[in-house]
Amino acid sequence: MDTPMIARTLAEIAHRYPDQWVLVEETAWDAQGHPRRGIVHAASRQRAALHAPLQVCHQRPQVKTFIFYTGDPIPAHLTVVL
Amino acid sequence: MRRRGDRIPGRRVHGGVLLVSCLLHDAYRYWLLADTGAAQTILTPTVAAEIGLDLRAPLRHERMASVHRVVRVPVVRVQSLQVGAQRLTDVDVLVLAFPPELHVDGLLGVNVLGRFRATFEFDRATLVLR
Repeated sequence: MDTPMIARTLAEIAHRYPDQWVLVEETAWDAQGHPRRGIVHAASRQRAALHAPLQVCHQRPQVKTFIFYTGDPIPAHLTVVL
Repeated sequence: MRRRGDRIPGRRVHGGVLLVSCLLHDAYRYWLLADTGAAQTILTPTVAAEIGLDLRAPLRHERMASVHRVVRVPVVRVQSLQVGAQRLTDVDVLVLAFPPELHVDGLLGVNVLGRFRATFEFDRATLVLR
């Protein structure tokens, strides 16, 4: 788990938590509102493990979170036709 | 807001498809796969639960045809969906689980993309909405 209150860039987060789902509280955005930095509150290979910490994050008002997978969202052995 | 072109940086992944981050309910951001072949935006049941959508009382059910099957899926309404600077309210979405191998939380469909003049710049991994 990340050191509390250390905001990292999304690239740093992806490097630090490879091939995991991460729950990030956004802390900085670019001029267009795209997230640039955030604090990791949870990381797991299991998507469901982020549910409870997400609820905790959103007990505070005005929080914005970003959940994403740091690895390849679509494995190389799959071709997606949805 | 709509008249100005909004360049939205995305993420191209395996196969060249484009993921775009979307902010739901002004608070929850996820990557959705931009899909002009999807008439409706789709969220997974996990995302629906996380943002507080009640699947026990959907607006309705719809029959959804994908490439290989037809399934009956619930339709729910998100209070807001923001892509870049473009914020839409009261957007109906389908809720459907994806194969576990896909680490994607939903599809951004034509019910959202079609409200704009959408342009894909795949070489720059960018979605432009005007």
